[in-house]
Amino acid sequence: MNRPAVALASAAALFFVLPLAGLLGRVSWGTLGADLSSGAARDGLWLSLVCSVGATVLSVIGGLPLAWVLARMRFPGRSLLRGLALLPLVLPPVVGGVALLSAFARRGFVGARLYEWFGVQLTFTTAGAMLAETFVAMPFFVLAAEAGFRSIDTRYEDAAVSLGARPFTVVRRVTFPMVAPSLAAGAVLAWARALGEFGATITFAGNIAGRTQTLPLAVYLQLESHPDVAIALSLVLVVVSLGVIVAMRDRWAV
Amino acid sequence: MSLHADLTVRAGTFEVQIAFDAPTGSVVALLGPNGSGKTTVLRCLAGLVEPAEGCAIVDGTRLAGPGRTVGMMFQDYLLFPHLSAAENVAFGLRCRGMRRRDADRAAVGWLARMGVADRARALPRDLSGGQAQRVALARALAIEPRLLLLDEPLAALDATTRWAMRSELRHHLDTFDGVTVLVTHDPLDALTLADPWWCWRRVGSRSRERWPRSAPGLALAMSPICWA
Repeated sequence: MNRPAVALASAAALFFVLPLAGLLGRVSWGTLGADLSSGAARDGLWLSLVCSVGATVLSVIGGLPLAWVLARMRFPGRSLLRGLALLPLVLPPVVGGVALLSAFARRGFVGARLYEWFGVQLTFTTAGAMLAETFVAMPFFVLAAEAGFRSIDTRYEDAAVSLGARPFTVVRRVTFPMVAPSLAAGAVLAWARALGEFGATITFAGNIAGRTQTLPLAVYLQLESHPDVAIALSLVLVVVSLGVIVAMRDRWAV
Repeated sequence: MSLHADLTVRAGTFEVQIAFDAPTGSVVALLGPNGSGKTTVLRCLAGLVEPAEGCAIVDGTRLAGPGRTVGMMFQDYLLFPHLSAAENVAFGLRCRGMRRRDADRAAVGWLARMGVADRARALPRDLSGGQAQRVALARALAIEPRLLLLDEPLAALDATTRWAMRSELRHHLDTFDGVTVLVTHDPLDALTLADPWWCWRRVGSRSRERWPRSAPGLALAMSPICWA
């Protein structure tokens, strides 16, 4: 039974390896430095860094209380809330972008108020790109954080209370340190997802160089005009993704 | 120092009643099978659950919520896994506003009294069962409680360690001047650690537990009521 399994597994492994090998084969190593420091590439790299870090911060700020409520409180509609919070995991990102447009665009029911009251416009801005990335990235953080909150034995918190700790002290000195590894893993996953975000970003924030054109968008656009730049940028994304996998291997390895 | 307890605790459909008085320096054992509500009573005395009726009074002061008068050693000890032995013991002192350095010195002192000063910087996962038990006892005693609660203090230990730790624990309880309430399913623990003790037994319907009376010494350990 093992031999056919090995043969099929090899074919499957090749399916993952060959495209990466092909990509490496097409990198023009001689001009790699110049390709990565070209205007579009530099803008894309910087913008992607800003947007993905911003989206990660927003995901943590919003995802932490959400994960806490989902893990620790019992109320009617909790499953529904979890479903909604995790929906972007399976929702096609383009649809997410369309949904964001209908709410936060200048004519959307939230966007119109934002523009009217604060003069804020999210579409076609860097903030909009960040928002689109947050929309798809936050579920990754919520998922990891909720699992973290569920996995700790709440009797440790009882022990802290019995020693005289106030609620804030319990969270700061017991709960938080115990879930910190889960939170870190969730943040890294959310960041990696935000970095690679394409569909929701291009739909909601558009494709404006230097403002909303993040790395994946730049790759797509440059593929026609400057394939070497597109491949150099792809290489960056591959290296970052591999780095995330290596950093997280202890959590996935059995 | 004395403890007067007259409590009814509800957990779901489960109801436990208990009433007893314990004088200074006494060790009370709540003996009964698993699932008979012993731990629920202990959690109530620790202030982690509110009683449905009644109250516990220590030295004429009514216990309400977790306070400085009660120290609890939990089943499987529940040492904070991310803190060293000394930091675990210092936790309660830090919560009372003691400075880090003073709390650490006091914690190491308590660990020395328990004979595990050399493990002060070790994390709980690197401690043996016996060492973890000593650190947990130090953590409960460090806040200088007047009421000490022990939940199955010896159940997590293997058979050989248990013998040694039982007499060691007995020694520490002898020097403790407050009231100790200990919960165990093992009549031998109750017999060796406690002075008088009470036996848990089922009264009435299955969801109702009552603490009916006190009974002296060996006769009770031998009686089938303990195993009901």
